[in-house]
Amino acid sequence: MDKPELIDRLTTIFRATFDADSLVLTDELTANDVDNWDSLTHMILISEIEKGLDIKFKLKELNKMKNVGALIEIITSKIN
Amino acid sequence: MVFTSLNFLLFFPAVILLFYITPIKYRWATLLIASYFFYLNIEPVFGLLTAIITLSTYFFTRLIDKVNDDKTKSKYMYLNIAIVLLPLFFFKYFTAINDGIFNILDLYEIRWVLPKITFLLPVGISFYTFMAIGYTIDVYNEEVEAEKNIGIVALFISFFPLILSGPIERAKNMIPQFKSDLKLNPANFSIGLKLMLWGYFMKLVVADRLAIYVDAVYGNLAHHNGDTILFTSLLYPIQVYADLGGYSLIAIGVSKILGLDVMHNFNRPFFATSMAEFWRRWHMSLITWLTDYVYTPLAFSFRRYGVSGIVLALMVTFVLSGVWHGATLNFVVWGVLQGVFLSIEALMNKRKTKMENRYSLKSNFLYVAFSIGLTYFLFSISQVFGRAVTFEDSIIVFEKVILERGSLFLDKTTLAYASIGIFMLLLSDFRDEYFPKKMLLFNNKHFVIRLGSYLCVALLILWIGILNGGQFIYFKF
Amino acid sequence: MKIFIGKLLVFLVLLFAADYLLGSIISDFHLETKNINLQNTNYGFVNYNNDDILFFGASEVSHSFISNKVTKETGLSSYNLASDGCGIYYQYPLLETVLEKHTPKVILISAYQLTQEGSEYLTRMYPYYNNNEHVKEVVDELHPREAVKLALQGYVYNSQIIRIFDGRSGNSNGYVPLPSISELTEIQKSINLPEGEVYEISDDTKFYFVKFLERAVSSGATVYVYVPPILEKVNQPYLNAVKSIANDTGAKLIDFSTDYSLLNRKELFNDKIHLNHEGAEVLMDKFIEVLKKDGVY
Repeated sequence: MDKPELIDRLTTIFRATFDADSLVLTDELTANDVDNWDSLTHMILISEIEKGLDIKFKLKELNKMKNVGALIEIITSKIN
Repeated sequence: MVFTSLNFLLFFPAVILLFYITPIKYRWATLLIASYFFYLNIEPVFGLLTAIITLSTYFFTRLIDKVNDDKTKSKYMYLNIAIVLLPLFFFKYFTAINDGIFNILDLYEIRWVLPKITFLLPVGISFYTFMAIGYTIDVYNEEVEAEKNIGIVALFISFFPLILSGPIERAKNMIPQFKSDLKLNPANFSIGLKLMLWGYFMKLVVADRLAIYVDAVYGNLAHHNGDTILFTSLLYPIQVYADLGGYSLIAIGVSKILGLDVMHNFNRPFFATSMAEFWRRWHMSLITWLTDYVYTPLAFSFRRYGVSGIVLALMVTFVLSGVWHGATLNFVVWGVLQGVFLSIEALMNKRKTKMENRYSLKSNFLYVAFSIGLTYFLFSISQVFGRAVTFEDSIIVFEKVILERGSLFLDKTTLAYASIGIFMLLLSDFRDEYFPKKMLLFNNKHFVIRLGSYLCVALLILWIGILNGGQFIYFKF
Repeated sequence: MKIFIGKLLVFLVLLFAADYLLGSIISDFHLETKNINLQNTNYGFVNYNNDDILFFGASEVSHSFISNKVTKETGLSSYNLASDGCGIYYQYPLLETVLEKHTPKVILISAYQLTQEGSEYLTRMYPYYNNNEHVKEVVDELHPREAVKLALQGYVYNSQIIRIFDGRSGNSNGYVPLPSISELTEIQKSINLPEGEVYEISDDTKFYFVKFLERAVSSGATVYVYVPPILEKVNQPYLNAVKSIANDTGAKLIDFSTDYSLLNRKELFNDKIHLNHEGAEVLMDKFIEVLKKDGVY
């Protein structure tokens, strides 16, 4: 899976989780920029991504997801 | 010694002076000595606890850093957490457990042969225990490196502005600062003094004054009617905010003067429009700590159960937070209640967002005011369990509030002084919330206005702050 | 840094100046206040004018001894110096201050002074601290570090402003009448009387109480220890403790707690321990009889 395709699939997951139809993902996007992205919905997001992309995160990796860019990096390292 | 004692007002300038004459390289050591002096001054034995926690944490974090095998690392982490928690359990929960056993045996008419032992709870133990645990987990998660200088670790755990009641800081923020060149500079000095001044105002003018009234009512629930108790319960959150918030501001101000940036603990909590938002503004250092070290690991391991997993993690976290406040049934209920409020909100969130968007409610003044009021009201309900001494008392509060009408018990003088403070505090928060950087007083660009506002606040503290035991409600008149 | 320290000093100087200025304004108002409690305190510590019969104590005295009635019956001037909530650390320097000017014929003090705990009421004497050595002595003895704090006027008059301007009406030589009531309020019910099988009195309180009695007796006045009438029960151990203390000093004990013409008569009381005005009238008749019997007039 290349990056544009990954971002495409992530965008679908993000929009569904946060109920934001016009949400656009950028590397710098953080929880502060999105309504409803808090510690509760974050965990739902994580499990949706795991289901959607068929990967498993580690707890340690969770702490490193400071923004969407870091999240994509971690995912990329898992699917390749 | 506490911040509001005369001792502290002599101690702090002495520390600044010592700090100033110490070579920059060793200033951390001055702070360490000052911190131990500050803490031992309360009770010399308590120093042993901080020392043991420091040694154990230092030793195990170094080990975690050295070994490569993840299993061994986690074993060391858990071992240290257990050791660090031991004193907290012993001092905070021993009495509760002992009492429990005592009462159960008593039911069967067996008299407990050991005498009932009560220990003096070492002040601040819950705070520095959490800081040490946070540091250990951070080292395990490779968020920070294990500090090689044991003096710095000791300072992190015993740093005097934070040791008594937080903010619960993180190694990642504090340790690099302790190791950097610590300097006194006028800008920090001025910011720090302003924070302290406002902190003292919150604590002495608002919190301690309100406490007189709240204690008079809650200390004598049987003799007050439901309306009075309702009124008091609605005032109580303001007392807690002014108390812990004020104390935190003093701590942050003291640190700032010494050139250290400490996280803020409250962010105008009473303007939150939902419980979730409230908990992002209230006692933030505790909540972020719990989020990072309790909630996230729990929610992560429950994540395949979806929303119910999250609700479960939330409940466990808040019950734990309740028990951290005190080992009583009341605090367990307090925690459960927070968990319930937040869970309901989380479950309704999608529908709520849709409704808000459809009617563009978020810009509707009435809707916002209603949400703020509702949030405050829900928090007040939960705080009944935080204030009443026993669970039975909490039940009496709700019974009376629902069933018993009567005229308000108004101690006019106490409430008049309190309302001056409350008005100023809420007005200041209101300005910062809705008109940030406007109508500034402490930070006005004209020196005269700044000076005038410092003088007003300082005079108010002096003239109507609670500076001694002379203010009490004389019950009869 | 120098500019900053300069500004800080300007602030501190201005703060002290403002505090001092405010203090001198407030101290004038304090001396002229219409608030009856503060007025009584001012009278005792500053304006005392050589009265013959003086009453010391807290609320159980201030609402019970009708000084004007005593004056009318005996022809001797009288003042009720009692102040709500004030214990023995207040009464002792007050006695010394009064005795400096003149020796009264009768000094009465309530036995409830022995049950009053704490010393919070000391703050009421702070306005006199600098000019009254007796006040200074007691405050310095009990709280040595208050001297430093009392350099600030805001501390001297801390939280007094509302009270100073909260004037009630006419002061009749210190006596404050209480209304009758039909039913005790819940709060009034919560007031507790001395209890227990063995009645313990703290050493400090006892020390100052004895010192007060000895000083009063040695002045040559007739000294009474007054045990107030109460609505319900009397605690015997407490009464015995009071008696033994009073006996050793040469003071006379007048005990109304076992007076059956007062006991259980709700119409004479405002709550469990405070007489109303009607009760005070009855008490005064009895008290004046005592004075007569003892040959005071």
